[in-house]
Amino acid sequence: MTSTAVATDYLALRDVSVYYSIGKENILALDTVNLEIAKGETVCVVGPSGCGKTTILNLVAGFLFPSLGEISLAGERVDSPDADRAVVFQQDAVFPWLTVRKNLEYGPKRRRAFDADARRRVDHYLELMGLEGFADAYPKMLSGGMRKRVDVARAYVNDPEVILLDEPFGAIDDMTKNHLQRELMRLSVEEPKTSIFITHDIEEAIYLGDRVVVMTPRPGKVKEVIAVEEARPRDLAWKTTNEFQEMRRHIQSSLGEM
Amino acid sequence: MATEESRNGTVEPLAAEVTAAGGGAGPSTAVPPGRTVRVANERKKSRYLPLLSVLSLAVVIFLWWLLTNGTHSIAPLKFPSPSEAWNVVTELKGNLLKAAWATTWRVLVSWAIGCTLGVAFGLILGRFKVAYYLANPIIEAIRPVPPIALIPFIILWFGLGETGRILLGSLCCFMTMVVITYVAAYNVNPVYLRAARSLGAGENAVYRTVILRAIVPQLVGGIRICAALTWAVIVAAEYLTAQNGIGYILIQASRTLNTPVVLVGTIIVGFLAFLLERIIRLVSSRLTVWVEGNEG
Repeated sequence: MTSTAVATDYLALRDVSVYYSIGKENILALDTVNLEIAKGETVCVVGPSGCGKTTILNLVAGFLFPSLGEISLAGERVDSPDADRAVVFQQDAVFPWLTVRKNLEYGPKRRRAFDADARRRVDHYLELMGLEGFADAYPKMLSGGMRKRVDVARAYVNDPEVILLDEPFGAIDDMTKNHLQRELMRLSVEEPKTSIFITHDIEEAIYLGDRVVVMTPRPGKVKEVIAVEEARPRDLAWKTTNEFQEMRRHIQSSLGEM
Repeated sequence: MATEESRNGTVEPLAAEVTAAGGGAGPSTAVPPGRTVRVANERKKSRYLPLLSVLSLAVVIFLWWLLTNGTHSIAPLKFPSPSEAWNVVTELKGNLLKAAWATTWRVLVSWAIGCTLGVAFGLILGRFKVAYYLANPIIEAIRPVPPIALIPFIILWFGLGETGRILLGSLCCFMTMVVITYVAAYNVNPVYLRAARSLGAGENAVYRTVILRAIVPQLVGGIRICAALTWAVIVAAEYLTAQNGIGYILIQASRTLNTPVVLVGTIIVGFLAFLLERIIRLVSSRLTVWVEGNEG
């Protein structure tokens, strides 16, 4: 192994194109996307709806195979879903038939790694996400924001290499969303994970990302990549600074030109 | 404590929480009885309303008596009086119990066999495409045939013995459960399957820990439908083939114009079916506490 710590292509999409077949027609959804993500880095992807953001995430998760090109993680080709890539879905994916605690335990149990350490991780994330009081509750008793916390905690408990988030806060009100963003920020400092965060919210992308990838409308291409240099942990108040708003305006116009 | 009193009354769990959240002493926690938060448009619950049900039942029984014993408006051959019905119960107690047991036994056995095999087969069809394509045309061909329409064939093949009746009851449960199980397994929200795979579950684990868990509410619903179906099919089969059981007693009584026995037999079947339904409901609510809208 050669200095993987500084490798910028820990997670890489190389010349990835995706065609969907609708009826007799093949529609190009993603057009030669190239993206290299370093270990521990958070990349946020923004773009107009239908630009293939979610397709990128499904490819990396292993749910879809690219028509052309290749996806690799730590030099290994990605060809199926696995526990090294956790996914936080836009939809509610918390298992309703398991209690909150059992949801968190699900990953370690499936990997046959449910040991004392895993138990500690479960307790740790229950506490960190403010879920201790609900450990034995079924998801139906929780609000949408709480369920998202369970989903995020479930992903982190399983200690994956990569965390993939698909507009996780898309259906959540602004106030709860701010809370959840701050919690993700805290997690990214405490336990940095290589992440891809799909969103249509520009401010969310800047706040959480080390880099923001701006996509074009379909067929999705990488239009621009903006580095966000601000050190972590970032305060929510940072969103009101000129620097932040300048970035937001820049991305907005980049999206708007299309 | 005032809140204690109001909690015993018509208060929703939500309201109980609201008052309980106030905690210790202090003027703000002294809620006058009946003034905890109420939910708009909630279905009204009152301890007096169930009395109405008792009342309506009493009225029906009174009318029954009035039209038979009281005024003799209904011919005894069409509908027996309460006293005649009661005589049947006291005179035929032993016979009725034996018949009720014979029928219940048939229902329980064929229901258990049919549902078990149906669920197992439905799961196999959901798991293996080959099995699905092999079995589906046959199932779809047999399924629309009402089970009772198969009785002539059952008699030709199995005579008037127990095997035929159990087979018929099992068959109707089997057909129902195969389809319910298969459809439920097929329709499990794909996001759960993906989530499980990304958390490290292999294909077998996904089946065991996601699909088998997610379909429980549909299975429980199906098993309940099957119980009702089995009563219908078994009683009908008893009309035609049995030498004992409630169905046999009913048809014999009808042929001999013994209306009181017909009435009592019908009530017994209804009561047994009601009892089984209650037991299933009790068990199923425990299996599905996690389902939205289901109060554990």
